[in-house]
Amino acid sequence: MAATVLICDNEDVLRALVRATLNHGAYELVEACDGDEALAKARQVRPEVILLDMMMPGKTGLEILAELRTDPDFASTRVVMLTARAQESDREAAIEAGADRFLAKPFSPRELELLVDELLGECV
Amino acid sequence: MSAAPNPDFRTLFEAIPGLYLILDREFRIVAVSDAYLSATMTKRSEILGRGIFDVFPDNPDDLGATGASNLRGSLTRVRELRLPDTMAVQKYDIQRPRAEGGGFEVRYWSPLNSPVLDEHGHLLYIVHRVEDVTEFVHLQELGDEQQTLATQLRDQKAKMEAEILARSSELHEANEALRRQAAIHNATLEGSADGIAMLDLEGRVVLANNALDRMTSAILGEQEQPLAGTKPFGAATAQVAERVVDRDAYLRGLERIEAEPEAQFVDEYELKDSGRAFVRFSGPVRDGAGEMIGRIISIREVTTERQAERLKSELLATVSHELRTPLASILGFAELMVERQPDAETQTRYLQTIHGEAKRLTGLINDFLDLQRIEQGGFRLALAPVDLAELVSQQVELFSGQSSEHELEFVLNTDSLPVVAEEDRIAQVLGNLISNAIKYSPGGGRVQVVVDAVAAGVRVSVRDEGLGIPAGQQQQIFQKFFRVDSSDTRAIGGTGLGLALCRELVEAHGGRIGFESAEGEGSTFWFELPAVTQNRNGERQRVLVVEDDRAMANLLQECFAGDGFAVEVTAHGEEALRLVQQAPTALVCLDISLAGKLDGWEVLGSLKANPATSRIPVLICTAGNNSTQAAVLGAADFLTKPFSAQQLRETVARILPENAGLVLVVDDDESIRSLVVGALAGAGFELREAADGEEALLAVAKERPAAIVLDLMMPKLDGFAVLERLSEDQELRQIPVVVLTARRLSRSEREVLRTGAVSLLEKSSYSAEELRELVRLAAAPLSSAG
Repeated sequence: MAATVLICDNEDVLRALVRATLNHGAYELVEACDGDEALAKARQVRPEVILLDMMMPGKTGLEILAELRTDPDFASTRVVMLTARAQESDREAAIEAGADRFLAKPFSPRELELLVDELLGECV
Repeated sequence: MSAAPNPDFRTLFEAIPGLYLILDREFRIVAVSDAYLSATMTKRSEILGRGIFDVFPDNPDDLGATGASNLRGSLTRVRELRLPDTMAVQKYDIQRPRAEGGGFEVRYWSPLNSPVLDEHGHLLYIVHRVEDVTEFVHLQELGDEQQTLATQLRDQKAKMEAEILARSSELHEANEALRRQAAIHNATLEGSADGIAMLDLEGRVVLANNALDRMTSAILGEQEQPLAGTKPFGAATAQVAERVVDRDAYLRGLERIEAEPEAQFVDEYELKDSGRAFVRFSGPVRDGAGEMIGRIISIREVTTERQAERLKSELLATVSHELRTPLASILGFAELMVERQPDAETQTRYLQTIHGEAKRLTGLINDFLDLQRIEQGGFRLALAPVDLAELVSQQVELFSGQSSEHELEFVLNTDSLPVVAEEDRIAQVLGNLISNAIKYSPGGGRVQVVVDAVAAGVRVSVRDEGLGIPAGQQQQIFQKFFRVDSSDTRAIGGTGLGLALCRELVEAHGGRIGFESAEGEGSTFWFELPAVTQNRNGERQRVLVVEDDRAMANLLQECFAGDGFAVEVTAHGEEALRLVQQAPTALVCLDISLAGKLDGWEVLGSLKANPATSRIPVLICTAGNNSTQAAVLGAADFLTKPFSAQQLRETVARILPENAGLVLVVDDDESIRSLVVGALAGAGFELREAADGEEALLAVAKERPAAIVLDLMMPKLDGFAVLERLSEDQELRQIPVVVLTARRLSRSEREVLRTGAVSLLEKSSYSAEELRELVRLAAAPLSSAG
C-alpha cells in the first residue's frame, strides 16, 4: 500500500507544486488548506508524512504540531515544517515543537522528494 | 665670582629657608628644599622621583594616623579644582633614618598645597609647603607654665592668627569654586533625559535627578515621593520588579549589583502593560583617592528604539515571507520542467503558474518601489480622461476569474462618470481593495463593487462580508506595514503596503479614501475622485433647462452634461421658478413657449424681478426672433433654433463669468495647432499659439498662461527642452502642461514627464471633448490633480 502524505498549505499554488513533485504513484496525496482542515484530515487518513505550512488560517503549523505530538496516534508520524519565514528562530521553534525536518521556501522539489523518501525510510 | 646672569633656580629653590616640596600630577616628588630634607630627616637622592606617600607613609604604630589620607585628599582637590588648598594642622610622624635608630618621631605640621598652572590653565606641579609646628603644639600642650616661652607663644599666636586669616580667605575662595562646580554638576544631572541615581555603600539613594523621579512615577503609575533620601533603592525597585516582563531577570540584575558592588554592568527590562523598555547601567563611584563611595545607577528609556527595531525585523520577516512564497512556486515548477520533462499540456500549466507567480512577485516589488517613490516626493500622475465605469467593470471581471468561492458584483448607480486620472493607478487602487475584500473573506461570499455619484464627485465602494476589522485596529489600517492581527487574519498574506499605497494614490488624485467596518460582519472600503467640471468650490455648476419640447430638452441636457454641468430639466415655468430657488444655479436656459401657464417672457420677468435670482444669467433659446425683447427683459443672450452644440457651447462660455484661463498651444504643425485651438475654442479659454519651443518660452515670459498644450517633437527647442526650462524657474514650473503625443513613449521618457506638472494625452487620435476636459482640469485654479 502506498504511503500517505498530507499536504497542508493555504497557498493553492504551493499545494499544486508539492502535488506535482510527489505525484508519481509512490504516494497517496491528501491536501488541506487551513489549520483546522489539516487536523481533521490527519485524523481521518493517518498519513505517514505531514507537510505542514507554518502560517495558515485557523490553527498555525506550530499549534497543529503541538496537538499531534501530544496524541499517541501520531507518535510515529513524520512532520516536515514548510515555511517562507526562513529566520533561524523559526527553524528552532519548529524543531523544538517536534518537527522532524524543516524546509524553507523556496525549496527544490527534488530536495522535498528526497526528504519525504528519507522520512518514509525511517518509518519502515 | 660674580652671579650668573641666568640664576640657577634649582640651587636657589633648594636653598630656600622653608619646607617645600614640588610634586607632579601623580604626586611624585620632583624637587625638595634643603630645609625640608633636614626637617624630615631624609636625603634628596633617596626621595626624588618617588611618590610622596611612598616616602612618607603613616606611622604604622599610630592607628589613628590620618595624615597621609588627609594629604591625599588635599592634593586631589588641588589637582581637580586647580586652587590652593590649606590643611588643618596634621600629626604626621617622621620616619627616623636607620642610622639614627629608626622608628617614627612625633611631629605636627601645617601644610599648604598650591597648584602651578601652565598658560592654558593645565596643572603642571603642586607646591607643597609645610611648617613644622611640633614645638608650638607641644607648647600649647604644656600650657603657660613656662613663662619664658609665653612671649614666644604670643608671637607664634599672632603669626598663626594672621596665617588663619589668610588661609580662611583662601578657603572661602575654594568653597565658592566648589559651589560653582556643584551648580554645574547639578545642571548636568537635571539636564539629562536619563534617570540617574547615586547610592551610598548601604544602598540608600543619596541623589536622584528629576528624570528618574518622573520615570519611577510613570513606571509605578502613581505619584511617588522623590526618591532621594526617602528610602533604600531596593524599595522602589521591588515595586518595579512586579511590573516588568521578566521579573526574575530584573531581580537577578539587582542581586548582582549587591553581590558585585565593584562591577559595571548593563541590563535591559520591559514593562508588562505599556511595553516601555529601559536600559539600566550601574557602576561604582570612587572618590579622588580611588576609594569606592557608592554606586551610580543610570536608566535610559529605549522604547522608541526597540519599537523601531521590532517593526523593522517584523517587516523583514514579512517581506521575506511574501517574496519567498511566489519564488517557491517559480523555482519549484521551473525545476520540475527541467528535471521531469513533462508532456506539453503539463508544461503549459507549469508555465502559466510560473508566469502568474512571477507577476505576483513583480506586483509586490512594485508596491514597495511605488510607496518609496511617493514618500521621497517627485511623484507625478500622468492624467488622462478615464472611463470609470469601464475601468471598474474590467477589474471586477479580472478578479471574478480568480476566486471561485467569491461572488463579485458590479453595481453602477450613476451614468455620468467623467474623471481625469491615471488609469493604471486607479486600477491599482481598485484592484488592491477588491483583492483585500477577497482575502479577508476567507469563507467566500459576496463582494460588491458599487459606483455612486456623490457631492465631491464619484465614489467607488468595495463591500465584503468577511472578517471585518477589530475596532481597536481600525485607526492604524492605512499605516504602512500594518496588518490586521487576529487569529483569523494572521495567515493572510500581504505586505501591509497595499492600503498605505492606495491612500497615497487616491490623495494624489485629489480624492479621499475611507472605510466602514464591523468585526465579523465585513468591511466597506471606498474612495472618491473629483468629477471633471467643478467651480471654485469644487462643485459642479448647475444648469436649469426650461423647455417643453422633449427632444430639444434631451439635446440640451446632453450638451450641458457633456461639458460637466449638473443639469436639471423642466417643461413648466412655475416649476422652473421653484427649482431655481432650491440650489445655486449657474445658468437658466429658457424656451419661450412652455407647458404651464407662464410663458418664457413671464418666467424671465419673474427671475429678474426677484433679487435672489436676478443675477442668474438667462439664455433664451427659441424658434422666434425676439432678441431685442430678450435683451430688454435682461436675458444674457439669445439663440435661435436650430443651433449647433458648438454655438451653444460658445454662447455659454461667453455668458458664464468664470474665465477658464489663458492657454498656450505649442505645436510646429500648423494644422494640429488649429485642430487643438478649434477643440478648445468656446470653452471659455483665452488662446495663444506658438510654433516652436523658443516661441513658446517667449510667450510664457510675456504672459503667464494658466496651462500649456505642448507637442514634444519640434524643431529648435523640443517639448522636453521646454519642460526643462520651465522646471528651472520656481514660478513657471507650476504651470500645468498637457503633453500631446501621437506615439507611445518609452519608460524613460515617461519618467522625465513625471517630474513636472504634466498630464499626458498619449494617443494618435483623441476627441476634442477629451482634450478640452484635460485642459480645463489643468487650467482650473483649484486643479485637484497632484
